[in-house]
Amino acid sequence: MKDFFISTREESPAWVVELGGYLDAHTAPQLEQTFQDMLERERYRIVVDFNQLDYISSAGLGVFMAFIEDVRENQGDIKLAGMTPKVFNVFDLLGFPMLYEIYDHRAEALNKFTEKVEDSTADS
Amino acid sequence: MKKNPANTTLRYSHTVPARTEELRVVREAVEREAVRFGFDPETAFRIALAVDEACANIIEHAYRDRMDSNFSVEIATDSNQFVITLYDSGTQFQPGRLPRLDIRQRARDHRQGGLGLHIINIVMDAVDYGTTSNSRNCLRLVKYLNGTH
Repeated sequence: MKDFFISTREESPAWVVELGGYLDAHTAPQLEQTFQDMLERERYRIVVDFNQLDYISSAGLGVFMAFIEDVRENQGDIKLAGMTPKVFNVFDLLGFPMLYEIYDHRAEALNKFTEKVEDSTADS
Repeated sequence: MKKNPANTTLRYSHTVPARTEELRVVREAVEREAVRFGFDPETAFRIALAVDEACANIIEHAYRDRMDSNFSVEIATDSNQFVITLYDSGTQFQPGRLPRLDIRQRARDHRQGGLGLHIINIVMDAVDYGTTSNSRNCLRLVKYLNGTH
């Protein structure tokens, strides 16, 4: 199993956070720091791509729980994409699909943000 | 493998430094032993997850990240039971009734912790907290191979 890694990059109209390896009590503080940095920079449209993540425990889930309200209060969202069945299994165990939009591929999650931007432009 | 009393077999015994970087070693051992015992890969993964959560609680709460401490992991089995026992000498956990998990409310409250206890209770068939004769905390996690006692 790979070590944990995290990277962020802009894919307009959102920011993509790519996760890989294992996300547990040891590595979750790195994700927490990344979300804190994103919020400080007022980046509220976030897609998390789990494609290369092999493992997640509640320490990782807790980070998503801690930031989702702040992001939504700022008209943004954290959309999740690309989970392996193993990782989805952990989210599903605690009922997270009720709280988060989860997509098979990150392109679908990014499209949702694009649609929202187009809708708000059409409304104005 | 060594035979224990009451027809159980000790399959794994390991003393672990109380550091979060050790979690990976423990869950890999638990998952491997669970598969060897006969659980399907998905159940074995879930058992390893539950043990990961229990170990993380010991490191972060019982020992409050005191990195010079350690705890012990034992896996014993009989024909139907897969039993993981964790021993530590940290602050004793006082189990109460676990409230219903309301993740929407937790999100509104920005509550990050406490999810691990829910995972442990969802995954395992029995969870018992106790104390050994030499005053160590003891957490016993049981999963039945055939789903029932």
